[in-house]
Amino acid sequence: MNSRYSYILILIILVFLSHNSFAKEKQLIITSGMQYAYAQKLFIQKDYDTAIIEFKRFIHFFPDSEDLDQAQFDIAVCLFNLKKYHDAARAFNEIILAGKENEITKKAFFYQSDAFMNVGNTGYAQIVLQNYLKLVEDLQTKDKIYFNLAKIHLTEARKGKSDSLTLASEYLSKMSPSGADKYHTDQYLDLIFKARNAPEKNPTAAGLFAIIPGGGFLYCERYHDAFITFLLNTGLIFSAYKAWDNDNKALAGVIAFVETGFYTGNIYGSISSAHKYNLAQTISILDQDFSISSKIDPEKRGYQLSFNYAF
Amino acid sequence: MLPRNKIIAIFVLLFVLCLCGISSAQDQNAVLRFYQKHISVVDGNRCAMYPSCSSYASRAFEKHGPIIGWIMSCDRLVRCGRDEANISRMVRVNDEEFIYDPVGANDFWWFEKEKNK
Repeated sequence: MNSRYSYILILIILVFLSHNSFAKEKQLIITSGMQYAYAQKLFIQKDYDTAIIEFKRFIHFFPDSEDLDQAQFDIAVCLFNLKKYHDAARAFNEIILAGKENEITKKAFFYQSDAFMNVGNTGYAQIVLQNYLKLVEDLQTKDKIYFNLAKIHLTEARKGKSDSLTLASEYLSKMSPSGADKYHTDQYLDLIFKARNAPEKNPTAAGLFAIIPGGGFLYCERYHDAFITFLLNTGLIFSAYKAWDNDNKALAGVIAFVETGFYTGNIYGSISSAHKYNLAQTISILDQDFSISSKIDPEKRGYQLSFNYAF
Repeated sequence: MLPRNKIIAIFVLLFVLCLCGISSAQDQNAVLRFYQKHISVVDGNRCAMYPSCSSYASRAFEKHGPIIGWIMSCDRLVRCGRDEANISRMVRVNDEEFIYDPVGANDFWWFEKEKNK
């Protein structure tokens, strides 16, 4: 009996020892460099969701690492690349508020502005850059800010915002000679000049022409609309007159009510068409000559502006 | 018996009240809602613009109230699908191409200024 117990005891000890030695073989110590490299690998593979988790793990376990700022920035870039622009803007804001004077903070300003642009908030996009402009001294960064602000105003010009072209040209004119060369501002200024001098329709004249139904549309080169408006309005006016003449006053009232809508609609539409015509001219010039785009390089986490010019 | 003129006048009054958004508690105007629910379904979506004229009218009433909404809706009905294609961009919705003409594309020249004041 005793020998049987001792066999069992030896067997248990052997099993325990073997398990322990196996566990020792599998043990792995993850250094900060390994963790950061893994998160970066995921970033390069564009697996941004997982990369965010790994960057957060890195921040949690290695809060004293020198790559901490970079990891926070990478999280924000991941959010940006995932098109979670509001979250990205918030994450870049934290980096900006930390107030460190380094390349990461500099990039964060531009990224945050771009995040606001992507959600269509050109106002905030401008404020971010204008605030940054107050903080920077070096000429190169200032030029980049001026160029980006000009780009924002050119985007606003495409939405029909008045004075946008003037503001864009003002910012371009503020750039240093070296910056002007780098960003080809002369071509942009030429483009703005062309857009300003594009053939225009006067909205007031369009409204006045619209007193004769369809006249405003005719002035705005909308010949089909002018014809339909003329037919519809004259038809309704004639019908109202006939109904009144036949002592059918209630029917005349209905027709007159409907006609009032179409007649005022004709005036409104004519003025609106003149504005739309002018906007379409601006957009077509901006589209034909230049296409400005900002790009993010996910591997280098860089911000890049590109433009095409049609000769 | 009511005279014919009075019956028509009552209809006119009802029509005007409907257009003026007596059902403002709900988002859409009663006439537009009736059109979209009962007529457009049978008639089919033949509007060349996006949003459709009835959706545009609904949005215009909601954004600018009954008077401007009514004027903008009449303007849109006249412009629907012809010369607008020359200056507005196209959008693809459910594999069909439409001329993109939202309310914002027709009030940008005065509404943004009003808003910024």
